[in-house]
Amino acid sequence: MRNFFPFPDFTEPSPRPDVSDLRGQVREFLEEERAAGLIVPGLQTWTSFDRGFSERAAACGYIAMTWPKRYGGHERSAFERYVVCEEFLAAGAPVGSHWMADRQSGPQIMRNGTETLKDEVLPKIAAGKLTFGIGMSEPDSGSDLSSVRTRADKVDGGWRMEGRKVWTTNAHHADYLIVLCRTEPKSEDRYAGLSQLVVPLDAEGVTVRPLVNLTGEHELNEVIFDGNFVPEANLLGKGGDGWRLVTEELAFERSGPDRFLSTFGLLKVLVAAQEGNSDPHPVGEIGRLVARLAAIRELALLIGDRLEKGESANGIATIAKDLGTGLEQEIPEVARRIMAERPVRGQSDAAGALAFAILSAPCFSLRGGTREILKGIIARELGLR
Amino acid sequence: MTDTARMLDDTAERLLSRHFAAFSRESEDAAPKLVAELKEAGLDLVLAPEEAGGLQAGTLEASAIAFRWGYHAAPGAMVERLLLNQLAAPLGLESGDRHAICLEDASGRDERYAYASLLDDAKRILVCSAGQDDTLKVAVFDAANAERRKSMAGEDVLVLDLSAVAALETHKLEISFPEFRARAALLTATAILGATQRQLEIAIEHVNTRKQFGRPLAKFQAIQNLLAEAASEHVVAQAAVRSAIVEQEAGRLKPLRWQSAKVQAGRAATVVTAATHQVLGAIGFTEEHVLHHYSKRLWAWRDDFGRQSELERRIGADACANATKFWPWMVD
Repeated sequence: MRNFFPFPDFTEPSPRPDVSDLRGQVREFLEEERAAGLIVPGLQTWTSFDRGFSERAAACGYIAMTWPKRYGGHERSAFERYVVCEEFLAAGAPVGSHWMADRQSGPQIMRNGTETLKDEVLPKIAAGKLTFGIGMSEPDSGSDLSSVRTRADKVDGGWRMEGRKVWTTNAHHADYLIVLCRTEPKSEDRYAGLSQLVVPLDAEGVTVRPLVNLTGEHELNEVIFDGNFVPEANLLGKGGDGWRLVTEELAFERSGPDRFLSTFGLLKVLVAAQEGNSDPHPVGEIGRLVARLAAIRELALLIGDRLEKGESANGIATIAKDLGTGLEQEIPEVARRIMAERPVRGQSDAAGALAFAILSAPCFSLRGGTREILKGIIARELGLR
Repeated sequence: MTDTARMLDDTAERLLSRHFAAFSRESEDAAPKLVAELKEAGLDLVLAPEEAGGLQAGTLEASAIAFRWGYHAAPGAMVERLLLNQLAAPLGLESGDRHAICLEDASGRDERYAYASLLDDAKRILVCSAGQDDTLKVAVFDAANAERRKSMAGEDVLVLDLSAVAALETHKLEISFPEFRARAALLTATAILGATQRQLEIAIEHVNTRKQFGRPLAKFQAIQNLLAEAASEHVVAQAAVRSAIVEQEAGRLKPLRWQSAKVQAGRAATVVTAATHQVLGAIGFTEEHVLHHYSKRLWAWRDDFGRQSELERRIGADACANATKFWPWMVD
């Protein structure tokens, strides 16, 4: 079997900066937000939108942490960024306004965007003032993204777009959507001829329609493109190479703490509820979950080290997401069996957190690549396909 | 440091592959033969102090040998031998040979029985526990008082009823018990991952060559998913063990790190053996195939030097005791 990374690892471990001061500052910031009632524990996830939170976080330097200063970044290490991200998620902070842009869209634009586009959007993302959405899925294209039908036709000075994206998180708040679309007709190679365009959502011809999810919230949307214009400068890459760009960003998208901390708020509630319980069974079940979480976190940190050194991590990032989301889904089930609570909605208490987690759980193994697609990728890495 | 580990890894791999090219794992004298070769190469003294002729190396170096031991499903209790030789000189013994070693769960629920793998024909059992100030306390028992049984892998083990017999003598060593216990768990976890690595290789090779319904088993999505899941368990355990070893070497290992690493390795053992047996079918369920040597060791090692469910319970108890600062407790 091909090794995903050296084990036992006899190389010198990657040096990591001391982050205890940074953690202290982030926790202080989060404590102020909590004290002001701006964090609702157990009822928020990393898709919860709050522009104000993002602006205040940006003012502290917690967004665009690794980016160059000339784009408003702070030139800190990927490890420090990881630390801030996990502290935000562990606290249940509403990071939805900046999360996608900071994690994925910004770095993608940095790597493959035109200078005009970089100057236009990156400093505003870094300031927490822009929200990005990811426009990949379509009504008839879920896991099979190569079949997307949204298309952009070349016109003078840019592109004109026709099509429809669905299940787009926070599109109703977003300023831009990075849209995977067809810019050349489909050929033998079904992955060729796709492009990624940075689409301004305030343009004429764009309609955003709500899709209410299982928790009863409006976070997902349908986005309809009916002849809207996208400027030339908003093309990522060379055009036609959109598939490569999509796969490049996957290791970053799939290995972060957002893939294993989505129900951490409930785990905290569960642990607190068992304080002083001497029954070994529920305590052991909690230990099993905590051991799993600690191990998956080590996997995410290892992936971070590898990405920072420019080493490949697509295979392990896929594993990290599959295992992490599995844990996120297991936590509500274990909690339901241990806690003396019925899941009831409407309050930020144990019963409310349990209900929220159960209702949110199905999407964890869908968004960012379904479990089945991930397993297929892992199987290929193992030499089985 | 890391050069030594690499050198040990090479030596152990060469020694073991040469050995198993010539001898089978089944024969009565398989373990003694291998142990003799191992001693000639000095591999048993990696953790022994320099003044006792050892390398006085750390967990990383020892893990190179533990990994190869698991990878070859080699007979004999290698992790025990490495640990015994770390304690032999401080205990005034010439070597750790002819002893058995185990850890007593002093701070958890009472574990009445001590299970110790037998080395050679051991006369003494060393039961290690936490003494004052967390130093290592060694209680020495007469092996004649223990019941002799077979481990899952068919090797001799001693089962000692700690409530029924008294120690012959006890020693206090200037060695940290928490570190020793963590090392024992991490070496066992590394041996597990050597064995799961090899089992996955065997499974992958098998499904790529065996055909049913006119195509290789590997072309069936059900088989792909099963092995993808097994490999994922192996990988996450590797990450946890790797980082715990790094932290132990740096002298900042927290209990949660090694406990969770051992728990994950145990889980990997369960999932990988189950998946491998499933894809090998009846072929893997007879002694004709080498697979069982791996499976049986994996099933035993899950509960050696840190019983999986006991470690989970401890992690859970620690987490609940730190409920008000749960997240900082986990990551700081």
